[in-house]
Amino acid sequence: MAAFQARGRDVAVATKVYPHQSHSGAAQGGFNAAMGDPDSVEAHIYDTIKGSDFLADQDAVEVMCSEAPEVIRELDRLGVLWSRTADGRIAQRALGGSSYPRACYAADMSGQVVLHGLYEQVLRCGIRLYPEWHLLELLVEDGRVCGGVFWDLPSGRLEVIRARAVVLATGGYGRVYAKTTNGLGSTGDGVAIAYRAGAVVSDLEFVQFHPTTLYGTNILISEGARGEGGHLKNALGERFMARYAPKAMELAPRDLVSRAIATEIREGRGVEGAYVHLDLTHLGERLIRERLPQVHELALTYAGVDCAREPIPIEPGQHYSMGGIRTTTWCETTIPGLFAAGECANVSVHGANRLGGNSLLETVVFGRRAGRRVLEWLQQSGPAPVPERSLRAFLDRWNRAFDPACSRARSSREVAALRRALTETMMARVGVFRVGPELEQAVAEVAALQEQYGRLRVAPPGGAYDYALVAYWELGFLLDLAELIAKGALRRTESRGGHARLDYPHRDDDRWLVHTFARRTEQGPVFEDGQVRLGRVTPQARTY
Amino acid sequence: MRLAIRRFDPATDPEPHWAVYEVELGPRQTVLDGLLRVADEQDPTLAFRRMCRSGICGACAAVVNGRPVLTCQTLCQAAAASPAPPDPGRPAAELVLEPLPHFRVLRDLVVDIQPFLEGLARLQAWLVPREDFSGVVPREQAERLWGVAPCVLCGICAAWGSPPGVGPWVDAATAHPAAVARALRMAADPRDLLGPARLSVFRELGLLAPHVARWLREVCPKGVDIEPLVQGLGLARGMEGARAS
Repeated sequence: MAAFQARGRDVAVATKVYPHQSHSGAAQGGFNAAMGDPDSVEAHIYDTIKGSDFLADQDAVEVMCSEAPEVIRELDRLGVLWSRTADGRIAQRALGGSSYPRACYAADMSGQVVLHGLYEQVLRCGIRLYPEWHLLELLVEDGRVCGGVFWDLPSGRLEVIRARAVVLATGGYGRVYAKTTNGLGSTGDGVAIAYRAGAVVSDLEFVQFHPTTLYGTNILISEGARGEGGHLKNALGERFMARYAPKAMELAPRDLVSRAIATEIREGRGVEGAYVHLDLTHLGERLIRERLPQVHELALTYAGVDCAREPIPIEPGQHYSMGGIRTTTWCETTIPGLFAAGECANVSVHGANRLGGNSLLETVVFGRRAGRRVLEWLQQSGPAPVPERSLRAFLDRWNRAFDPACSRARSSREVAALRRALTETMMARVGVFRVGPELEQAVAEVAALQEQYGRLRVAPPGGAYDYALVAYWELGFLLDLAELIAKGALRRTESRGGHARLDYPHRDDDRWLVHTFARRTEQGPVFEDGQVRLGRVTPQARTY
Repeated sequence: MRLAIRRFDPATDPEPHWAVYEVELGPRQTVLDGLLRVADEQDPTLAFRRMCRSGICGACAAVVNGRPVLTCQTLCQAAAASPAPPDPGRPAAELVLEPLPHFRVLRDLVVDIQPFLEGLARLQAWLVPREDFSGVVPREQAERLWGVAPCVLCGICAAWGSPPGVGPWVDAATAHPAAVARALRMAADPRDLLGPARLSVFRELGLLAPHVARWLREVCPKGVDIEPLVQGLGLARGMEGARAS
């Protein structure tokens, strides 16, 4: 979206996979936008702030919700295949935490149709693409961004792109967790790279666990399934949401539903002690095929379940990274020339918990703003410095990583073992529920893994499509992010949104109505409180 | 389970060769899971694309036991149930994996999809927005476009041969099915500035439409169905079976 906005300038898009393979395509539910009566931008703002457990910056929320209808209409003009109402307008459905059916959708392929629609527009505009180029490090000279170092996976070479402005739209860091709906490439590269470059990152301890991921594989089953009327049931066949959110039931926000499921399982009411059921059987085969074709197909393929006839076994899994690179409402980071938008950014519109339908919306609203702001920045700023010291420092670290004496297979096994240990620790100790001693344990374990990683030397690059090299480098990102998540979670002695501390079960607005800002130093991250921009809505009890 | 994988690194190998790996796989594990296990535990040099692992990104297409599939939505056990035709030149294995044919192999299962993506440009298979769009697309018109939405640009329709008398798809003279399907959708999309004029600009669209519709029904792993679109554009002549009811 940012590149499309900046078309006509010398703009290039570098992506770790082909652009149309980006994980945005996996988002199913929709794009929230108050398109007209009875819904209103005001209601969208209110729902988003309440959903965020009041940690969102209210000016950023206002920007997102106000621009939403216009951006949706622009995407419509650009050819997005929205589902339509009987009178030909864009259809909308209910998702959790919204007071009206607000999510513009395309069956359950909402992310896919927008991703492909924008990809086609990028092709039409002739924007230069560098597919399968992995960003390894940002080049920063005299405090200003001047480009990036990339690993060109197809050719097996390092490349530098010099740039006066860089927009990171690199997605989340779900792969820090063993159970995640995120794709294999969602390793938080951009967030870790910006942090290493000195940018402030914020609120990383707020991690969203999606209530309905397929038991075992953690493949996402869209919230649309509950939006269309699906029920959650425990081993006793009870619709247990009645105990946790008597009004909203299955359509309560995700943090609440995930905790409800985790509680049911913990208290022994899980099916086979391990999962619960998402029951769609009462919706009928016709509605399922028309509105939830992908859900039907995913459950059939990956769980062997025909959801028109049997309930789907589901469990919560990591789904979304609320935290990210701190930005202004114009997507500016704390490093001049560096911008960020989407899941990798923390602007912050989601605060402590994101509502379904707001993440895709954030990507297009703030992607467009990032593009616009970059155009202004190009007017205001002089030429970027030539990368020197930063490039040398990178090359030193890069070269130190390799040892020709290492066996390729052994390096790879070590990387895989460290990654497994990390993701399991994070899942077990920094998951849906958290508690002080466990978090301390996680911090210690992550530190030990970082130390092992630091000592690890791997086989030198091995030509075209050396995925083992990528896996090694990504693990470094995951470790940095895990440290920030675990330390942030330990530091925040309250429960808010996606951060649920059993030892501090209540929200504490007196102490913790603040963002967690983190900045890298040689001694590790330094944390401080960041102001939450309030304004419209005063924090109150959050019930559904 | 035994996996035989056709491997080739153009930088070092004079020609492709078979490598065999033994991995333990559970009943609901996919072929992609198998490949990831091999890469993590046995041979990190094995190259294959991977991303979403849920059938939506289209990166992981390959030929498994003689059929082109997305490896992430193909269960090992199901694939093993219909074995590859025997071949004395190849080691015996429950799963035989090869790169998509017709595309240039870059390494192992990774093929060059660039010419395939450039095929979209050849037919300008993107929407040219019109300024006077009212915001309304009648539902029956919108529904006709829908059959193309599941296309993930995996390349299987272009790689897997072509019906008799058509193709091969991926050469300079012929447009490939994914591009044709997408371009037809643009021709039928009321938001497109060119709209039906595309059929005059790109004559091959009309000629190929019925063949492509049939072909996609046969090979597309995402169930792309352009028959309603082809009917709606009045191009159904020559299309087998399907008639508007």
